[in-house]
Amino acid sequence: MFKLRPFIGGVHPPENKHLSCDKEIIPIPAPEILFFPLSQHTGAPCQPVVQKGDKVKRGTLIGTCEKLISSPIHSSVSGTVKSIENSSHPVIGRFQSIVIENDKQDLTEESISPKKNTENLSADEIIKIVRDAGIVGLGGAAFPTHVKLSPPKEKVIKTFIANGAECEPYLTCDQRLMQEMGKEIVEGIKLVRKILNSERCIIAIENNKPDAIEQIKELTRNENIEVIAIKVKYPQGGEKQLIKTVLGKEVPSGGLPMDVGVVVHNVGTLLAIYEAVNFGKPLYERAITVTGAVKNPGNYLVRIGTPVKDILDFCQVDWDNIGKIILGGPMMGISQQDIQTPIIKGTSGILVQTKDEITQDEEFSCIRCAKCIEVCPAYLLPTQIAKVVKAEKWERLSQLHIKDCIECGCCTYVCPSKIPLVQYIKLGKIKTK
Amino acid sequence: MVALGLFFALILFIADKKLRISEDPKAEKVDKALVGLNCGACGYPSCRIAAEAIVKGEAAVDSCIVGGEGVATIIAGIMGKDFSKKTHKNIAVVHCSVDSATRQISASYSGIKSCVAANLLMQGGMACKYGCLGLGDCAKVCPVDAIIMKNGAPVIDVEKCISCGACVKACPRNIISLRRYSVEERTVYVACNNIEPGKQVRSVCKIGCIACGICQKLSEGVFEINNNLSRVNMQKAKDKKVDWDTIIQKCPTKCILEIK
Repeated sequence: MFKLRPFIGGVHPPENKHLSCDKEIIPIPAPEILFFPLSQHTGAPCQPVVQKGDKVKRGTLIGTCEKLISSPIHSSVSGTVKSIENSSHPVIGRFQSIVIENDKQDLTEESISPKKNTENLSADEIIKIVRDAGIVGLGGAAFPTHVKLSPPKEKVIKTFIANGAECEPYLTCDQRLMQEMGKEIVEGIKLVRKILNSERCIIAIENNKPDAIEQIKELTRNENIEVIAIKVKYPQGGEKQLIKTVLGKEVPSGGLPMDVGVVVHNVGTLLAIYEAVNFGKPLYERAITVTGAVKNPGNYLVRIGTPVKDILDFCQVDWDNIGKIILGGPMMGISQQDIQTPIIKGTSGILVQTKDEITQDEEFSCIRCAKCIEVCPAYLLPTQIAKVVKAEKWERLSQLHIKDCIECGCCTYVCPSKIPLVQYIKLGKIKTK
Repeated sequence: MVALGLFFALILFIADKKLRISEDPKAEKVDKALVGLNCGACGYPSCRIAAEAIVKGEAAVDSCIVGGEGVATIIAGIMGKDFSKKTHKNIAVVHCSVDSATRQISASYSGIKSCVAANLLMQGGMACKYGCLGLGDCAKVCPVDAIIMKNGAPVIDVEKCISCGACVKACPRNIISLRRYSVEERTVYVACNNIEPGKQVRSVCKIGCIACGICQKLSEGVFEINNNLSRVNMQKAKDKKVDWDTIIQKCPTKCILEIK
């Protein structure tokens, strides 16, 4: 066993995973009305292929796009298309969405059924299935999976890492998936490994999930798959940081993990790939963690497009004492202003905070303590970037490698002057585009 | 040593004769007549380059927007051209009239005090996605301090505004536009930028345009409704007599305003 050296930088925020880590994944009933934003992934947005009044079933294609970096969208309930209008989007504020009224019959597309002879499928066929099923990275960035599965020919993928780190505090849905659906995830790993033709295959799990590690080790006993327990540190689940920890390799600035012969997939994505290949099931539901100030914190299987309000009603929340609703984890998630905002493919959790928990701190001047530089996992100078953004010297930002920022939030977390560094960096990124 | 000195002197003498750049003396004069703010509103990067363009005849004598009539008259004198006085100028108008009291908030925003940054993060906590965020990016970029933030709303000083368009570019929500303004004519505009249907506008703002069409009827088409939003068509307004006062009064949400 070789010694693992964690990546440089990072923080140790309170984990708070105890709230939900022992709760089994329970499905939440589909609500009356669902919203499907036409951009749920990184890349080109989809065009609607249904019209107002059309009948849809569970798994019906409702939006698609011909471009390579894009992913189709499917309905998660059976019902009628109510309208196509602008509505809340958890990341970009507002976006064109398809509104579907649930008829509660839960009719399913015929194509969703157990498939036979899946062992004989070729790599290209599997990639096509993954694309048509609308699978994107379920870790949070929602990058279309089929693009990551088809690397250019000149790049040899030596190692494939299944990412079960789940470094974000509070979130436990990946852990629960590994414990409950471990077998399916391992099958998914085998499928991806077949496509990528990689020699080495690793499952990396942070060592605060001993049960999940045990479970996966048990399941991979007779397989040529390594299970590695890594030390807890945020943001270890970022793919570049994970590669640094597990393999000691550095992904070059502006490069992709493919450049060092590695591909990383989240365990949730692997499960979705398995289900798409073996059951023809498109990505219309996902596991999320609902946690924080709710009466029933836990892990839930929700249909994509379910508004936050319905989920929080199901989990019983004291509406009068809500200070903040964050979609995603506390470090990288985005706080919402509309309770009708739907869950999209990249949403990994809902965190509710009470009014007492949130603080609204005033920004003070930088005291040059360099804490942000110490914790930055991308070796950037956040304080310098913020200074340049404040001075609006946009042309200098590329020298500071602003594009390498992964927006993990470590700098903002440690800043004693409460400077919203990540927000400055995001602003700078938009201005240098 | 003397020979060497003379040799270099000769080189300098020849260089002076052969490589001299002849410059129109008018350019110098025009440059002095210009305001010298280097604001770029004329489309040239600096006043000096604008002056050269005017002398070459590439730009009109009244190119300098900041200088207005006065400067244009002086430059016309230098260039020996006629300059007919303009009766109007352009000014910036804000198509949203919310201030701290009327702005409906759906979440409290405590990030960077900049409209662009706030707009990136979930609409800056404002219920309306199209209206003024009130963090003053326009006031920051104004080269002549014509925009002042009052009660969380930009107030434009008509006298000071030089219509350089800096605020139009700075606003992340594109609610500022340049409008023709003169003392004789009345400048009426619709202070709303929300293109969603009336019901949704009403739910996020009490003073937004709901596209009811009253102004369109009363003005016989001078006000045009496109995309659930009313706008004044200046071309039509020239030819028709419009009863502005009645229209301003009849607007149910009082979002038709006038610059005085």
